[in-house]
Amino acid sequence: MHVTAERLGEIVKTRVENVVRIPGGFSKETFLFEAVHADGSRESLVLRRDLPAGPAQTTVVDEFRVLRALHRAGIPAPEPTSLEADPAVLGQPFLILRRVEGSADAGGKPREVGLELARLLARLHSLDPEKLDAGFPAIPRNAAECADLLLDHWHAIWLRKRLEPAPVIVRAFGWLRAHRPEAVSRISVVHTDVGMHNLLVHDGKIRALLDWEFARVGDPADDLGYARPHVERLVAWDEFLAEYYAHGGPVYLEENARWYELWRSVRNAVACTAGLAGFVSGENLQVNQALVGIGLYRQLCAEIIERIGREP
Amino acid sequence: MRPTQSELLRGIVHTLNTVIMPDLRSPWPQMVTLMTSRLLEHLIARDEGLPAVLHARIPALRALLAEIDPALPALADPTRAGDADASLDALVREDDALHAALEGLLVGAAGRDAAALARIDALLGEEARAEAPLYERLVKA
Repeated sequence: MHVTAERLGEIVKTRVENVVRIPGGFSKETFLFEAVHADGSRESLVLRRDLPAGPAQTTVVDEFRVLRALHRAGIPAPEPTSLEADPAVLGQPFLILRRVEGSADAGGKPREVGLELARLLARLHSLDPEKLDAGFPAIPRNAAECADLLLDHWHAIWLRKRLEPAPVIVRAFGWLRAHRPEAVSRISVVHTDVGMHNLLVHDGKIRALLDWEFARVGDPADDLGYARPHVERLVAWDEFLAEYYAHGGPVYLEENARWYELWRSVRNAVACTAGLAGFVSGENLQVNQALVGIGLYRQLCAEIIERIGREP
Repeated sequence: MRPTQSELLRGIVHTLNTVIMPDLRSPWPQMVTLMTSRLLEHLIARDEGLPAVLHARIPALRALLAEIDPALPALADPTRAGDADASLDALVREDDALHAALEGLLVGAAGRDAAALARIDALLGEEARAEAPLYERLVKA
């Protein structure tokens, strides 16, 4: 079902203009639009819509609850204004967010942005997941459960969606199970995709951390390890960690971060497979699913086997 | 048959890149057209490069499987599609069957044998390097 100004106008019950689908992101469709109210004021909004047979195997229905809880907790997640879970309305479930001004650019203040990111992650990793009302499906109790929840969930997706033999993925799941982290410094809410590409910065200040679809409760080393190469382009890692610790962040376990780095490649390879399965079945014929399902998947498999070969 | 599949695809890619793309104004159609062009270039690379990749890797895969478990049923396949005159379909079928057998080894005893795992890792790494040119246009997109 096409997303048009007329259709969106019926949904938000006011005139809608300047509907633009934005590129980027493979697991949801994202549209920017402006709602024009009766008094002439304009409101910039964002619509995120599930894809049929989407690669991430997540839904905006869950994402809405996470965003609402985090926004209420003072984390700079975009504010969700409405959720429509009924696919009859616009073809797939969707949510609407308030648009946040900014860009994925430190704007000449890299150190300030890097240190603000340290404070943001310290705050996120200090939230009590039990009190958040974010609807997280499971709260692990230790390092092994953090890993097992992920491995069980994504292995099941892979078994359902796989299209052809993939010994690299079998090898990777075996390696990850055999080398699960033994300790976790704190069980935290984690975003799992923290980098400049998901930050909106305005005047040297972080206005929003975007794209919470993979957020869950787990090991903060997952976030820190992934963020590290992005952080090191902004500020020295030691200075970042000092700021993170000063604001209550738990101890960074580098060995765990390495496990999660491999894990993330495996998860993304499985997500590519799931997206390609949707393309092959005809449920989702958007060519971006074929592009990542073939190209990015092969690249990830090459990285995975190379990384396993390097591990002791 | 002429034009060959690759010759025809090159013409379509050229049209997309030089006629359609420059006239597109919004970012999403631009990106979709670029991705479509890259997928067509991948089909050309696959058409021209996949048979050689499979001819090279099937014997190596057979040799490794035989070394780890000579009694594997997949090795007894009498069609031996890795032969030089095998069709692409037969090569793909054999490649899939051998990789499925390798998966079986990984979840079995070989998955707990460090020496076997090191040989499997080396082979899978070599396979990835050898097939990378088939996918490079997609990765660059």
